[in-house]
Amino acid sequence: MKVAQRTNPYAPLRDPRLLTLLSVVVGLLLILLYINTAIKFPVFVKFLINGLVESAVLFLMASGLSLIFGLMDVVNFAHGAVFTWGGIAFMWSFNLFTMPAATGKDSSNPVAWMQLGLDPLPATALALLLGLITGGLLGAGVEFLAIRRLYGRPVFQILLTLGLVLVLDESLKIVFSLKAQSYDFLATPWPTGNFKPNSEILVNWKSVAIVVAGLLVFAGVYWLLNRTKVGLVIRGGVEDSQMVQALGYNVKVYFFWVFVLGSVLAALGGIAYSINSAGGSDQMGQLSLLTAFVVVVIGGLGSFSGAAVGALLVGIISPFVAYHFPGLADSFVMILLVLVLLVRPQGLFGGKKY
Amino acid sequence: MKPSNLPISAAIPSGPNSEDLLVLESVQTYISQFHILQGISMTIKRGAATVLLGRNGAGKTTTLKSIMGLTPPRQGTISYDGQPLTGKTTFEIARCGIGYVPEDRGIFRDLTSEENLLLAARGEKPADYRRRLEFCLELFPDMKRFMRQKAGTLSGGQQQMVAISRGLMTDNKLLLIDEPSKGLAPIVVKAVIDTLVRLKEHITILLVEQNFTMASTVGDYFYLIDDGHNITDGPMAQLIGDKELTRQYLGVTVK
Repeated sequence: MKVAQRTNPYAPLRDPRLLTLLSVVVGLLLILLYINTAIKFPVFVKFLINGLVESAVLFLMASGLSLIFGLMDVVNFAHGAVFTWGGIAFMWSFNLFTMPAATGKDSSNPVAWMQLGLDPLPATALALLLGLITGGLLGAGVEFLAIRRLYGRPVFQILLTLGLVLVLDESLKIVFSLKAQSYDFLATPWPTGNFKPNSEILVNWKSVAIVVAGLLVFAGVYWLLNRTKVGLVIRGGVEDSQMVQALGYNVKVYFFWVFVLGSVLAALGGIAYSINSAGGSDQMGQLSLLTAFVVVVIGGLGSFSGAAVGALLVGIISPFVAYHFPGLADSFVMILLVLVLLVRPQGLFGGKKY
Repeated sequence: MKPSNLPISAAIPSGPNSEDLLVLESVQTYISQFHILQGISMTIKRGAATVLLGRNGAGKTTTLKSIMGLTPPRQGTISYDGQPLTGKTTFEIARCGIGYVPEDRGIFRDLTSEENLLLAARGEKPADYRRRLEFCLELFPDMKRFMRQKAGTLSGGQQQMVAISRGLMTDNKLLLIDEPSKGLAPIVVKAVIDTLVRLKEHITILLVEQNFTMASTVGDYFYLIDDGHNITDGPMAQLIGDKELTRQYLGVTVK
């Protein structure tokens, strides 16, 4: 069948000039901030490192949201609750695992068997697994019992997930018998210690671990979405789920697993957050959720790489802003959102569906 | 324009009614509260091309969607290759070996042409995928030029090539094609006709089409429906001869 090739009527959706302009502006801003802090060079590096770690935590939170909200268009306010559950489950089980075996009346405690007196390294590994499973199970339950019936109905999703936030936040306190709002590690989780690249700069190994985790998650999910058949089904299903079904795929199963994956990533975010700030609270998820939503919107809905860039942008700039303009520390994220949306209403990488 | 004789190959599997690939018996389909199909019956012969004709709103697209389970029928039965399709979900029906080329082509705009085809090749071994891809590229040599282009940026005719090829990427025995001429330039429509005539040798086709030239050239049999009811059916030659029928139901005059 011969058809004359028409010149492409749709110009590429991304305008490279705008992106260049934006990166130049951000670069200039960073240089300005550098000059300002240059008198104390190590301060600049410290800020950069802190920013990277913050970006990684933010990205872990936003990556799950990018899959669930950006890609599948499910408005999931319960994402923050899963973040909290993951973090608290991690800390709680880590604390139990490192406790010496229970004796006497303590052994009547239903979770006494978890007191194994482990070293921090195996305790961290086990607790990490438990935290991720908690997130996955929560995600699976929420999708299977509720969200499954509400695809494409955002108002109902908002109502439902806002209600779920209340249920999950309150049940969290019961399940882990939280007495106070904050929750702390009883021992220091692995990795501990620092490394000194320079006499004036000190980097925690845990910061390195968090950044590496963020990079691994990015590479893994990017590979899954762009280089595998599963990714093809998901990207196709997001665009036209009926047609994917008509090609013989059970789209529901794929969406279910994407939701579970997103929730596991939320739990990982909670775990990274609690390790990074050496503790957490029953509100930590809700506090980070707003920033994560902003990161996803800045990056562009549906763009996974966009979420990573958004997290880097917010994470790296915010320590500098907090240093120079303490008053703007909290509102900075929103200002950045407004600026980005003024220039590119679809977000930095929006219009590209993965 | 002459309808070809039935090109049923000698290799018809044995079994009851093995000549009939797809049978619809008084299918009734509702879309919300609207009674769209009010008892449609059809028999699609293996190895032939059957054209489903009718005015706008007659229920042609809904018939195809009912077969695919996208608008599941409330009453009546559909059986494919001897097994019932009624009650099966869309993906199960597709796995039985039915390819679907929807109205407006239903291509994935954000995926490249190649990714569209890869996605359609569900569970195919790499060797089978290459073999099927070669067949499609032979059918549509132009497709080589836009394999790596986003399908959303293609012209209507190019998208139609991708959409039809998608139906050929698995071991489908039946291809449901909904209005392939819609929105295409006349010269492109002619190319689609040539392709479908060639394709008939390989696969059974159920075609919904308003374009009478395409319907009469491609089709061996026709079914005429109106208002969700069967009107008449038979070999294509019979319809071409019946000027009154074509004028009344299709609004075309055959010279």
